[in-house]
Amino acid sequence: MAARTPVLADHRKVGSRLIAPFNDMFGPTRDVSWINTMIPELLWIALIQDVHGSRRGVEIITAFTRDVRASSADRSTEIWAAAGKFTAIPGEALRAIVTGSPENYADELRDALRPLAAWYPSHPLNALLAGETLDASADELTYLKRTVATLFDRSCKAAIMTQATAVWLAFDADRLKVAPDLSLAQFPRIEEYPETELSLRIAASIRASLNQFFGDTAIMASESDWPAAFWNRGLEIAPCEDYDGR
Amino acid sequence: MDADEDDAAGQAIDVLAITGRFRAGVNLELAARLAAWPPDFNHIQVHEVIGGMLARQATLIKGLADAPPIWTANSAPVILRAIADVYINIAWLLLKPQERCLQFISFGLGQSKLELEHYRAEISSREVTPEETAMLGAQEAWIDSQRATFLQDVNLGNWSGTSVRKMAEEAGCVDFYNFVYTPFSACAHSMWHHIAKYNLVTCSNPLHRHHRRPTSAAADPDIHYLLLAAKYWAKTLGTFDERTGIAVNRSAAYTQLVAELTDPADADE
Repeated sequence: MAARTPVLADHRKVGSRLIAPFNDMFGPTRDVSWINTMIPELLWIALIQDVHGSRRGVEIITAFTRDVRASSADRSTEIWAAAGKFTAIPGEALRAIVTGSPENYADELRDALRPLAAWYPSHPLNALLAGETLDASADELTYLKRTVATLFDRSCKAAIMTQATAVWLAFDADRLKVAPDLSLAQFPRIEEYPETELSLRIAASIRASLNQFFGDTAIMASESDWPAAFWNRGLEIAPCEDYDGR
Repeated sequence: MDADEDDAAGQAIDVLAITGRFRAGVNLELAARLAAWPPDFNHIQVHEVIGGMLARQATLIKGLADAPPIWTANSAPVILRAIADVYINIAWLLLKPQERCLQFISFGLGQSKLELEHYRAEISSREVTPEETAMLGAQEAWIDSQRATFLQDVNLGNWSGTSVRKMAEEAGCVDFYNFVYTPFSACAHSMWHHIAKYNLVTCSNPLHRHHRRPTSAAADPDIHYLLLAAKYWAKTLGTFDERTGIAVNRSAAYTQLVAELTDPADADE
């Protein structure tokens, strides 16, 4: 009889478990999910970029988060990318930061966040729209649904520009420094995505960096309930759908 | 499924008539083995265990054949897994039948004793009904008829003292273990890789994160499951014949079933 081809021979047997080579080499890992966690945390960035375009969107977000960092010593070294981070700032204080800003971005910021505030009353940035009468329209829900659906593809342009903005906020907060010979050192060339080889490499670095930021070191993750609350709210505002359209 | 359902070639087949002939064939094949393999009172346990297990296999096969509504991925594997279990047991037992058949009986008696003691513990703090007294008495008498209950050890491990995989390796049927026993175990034990495929459906609403929703949708019967059962019956007979050295006609029921489903014109032959 021919010798049997061994299966999973690269795994190490520990008791009755076969340990995958990666886990064997590096130990247990903490999973971080683009869909489960990062999409709800970064959706506000995606909406601003969708409404105002990538370039203006980054200007608005940069100005806003610089104002947040400047508002208190406690906030000065924080990366204000994940929505859940803003739960640490009282609503009144958040409004004061924006209305007192010398930069002219407040209306543009609120315009982009309005559908989110209308349909997701617990979004951490909703204090910015306090006092407004919000119209939770079907069109806005469809828009949110389409935007979220687009972001499911983590490599699409909208998702990459959203993630690039989050990484940029880490640079801007002086929390991220890279060696000059790394792709990420040429960060601005991400604008070329996905047309150039360099932009593809930068995008890969951005995705890997975000995994790290939302993973063990948790310098970007909010550790808040917001991601779960976002998905639970989705179940309340829209019915389940089947792939065959029922 | 209707009794008269069109097959792939557009010809009507009478499923119940075909399964009726198949079950009759299984009965004949079992009877032929038992006739050619008389008891030997030097080692009567071998005849009782192996013969009983062969009859059990026939019962499982006919049970599946008689129930077209369960020829689905939801239900058929529960029976097919039991059929696979019987096959591996027979193949392993027949390597050292005298010793292993005693081991098999002893384990079963021990389990029966344990069950009896659980019942007794449960009723110890209340009044016992006459029916319960009769049932416990019958169970103890059944054990005593084979071995005094107070002398019977209880094995809390598995009956063979080794894993099913090692049994299959030893019996030369590890492929059967890998490709039949293990996959059907997922259904029989309602494991994640079964229920995720058959009892959950992915929601396509992006706002719902593509979560999986429970579903208990009806499944269309598939005659493939009957063919699998019939094939395992033929395999069981083949192993039994080979290890016992008896010579009878090989697996006519399976061959006939395949012929009838392949060419319905054969059904009346």
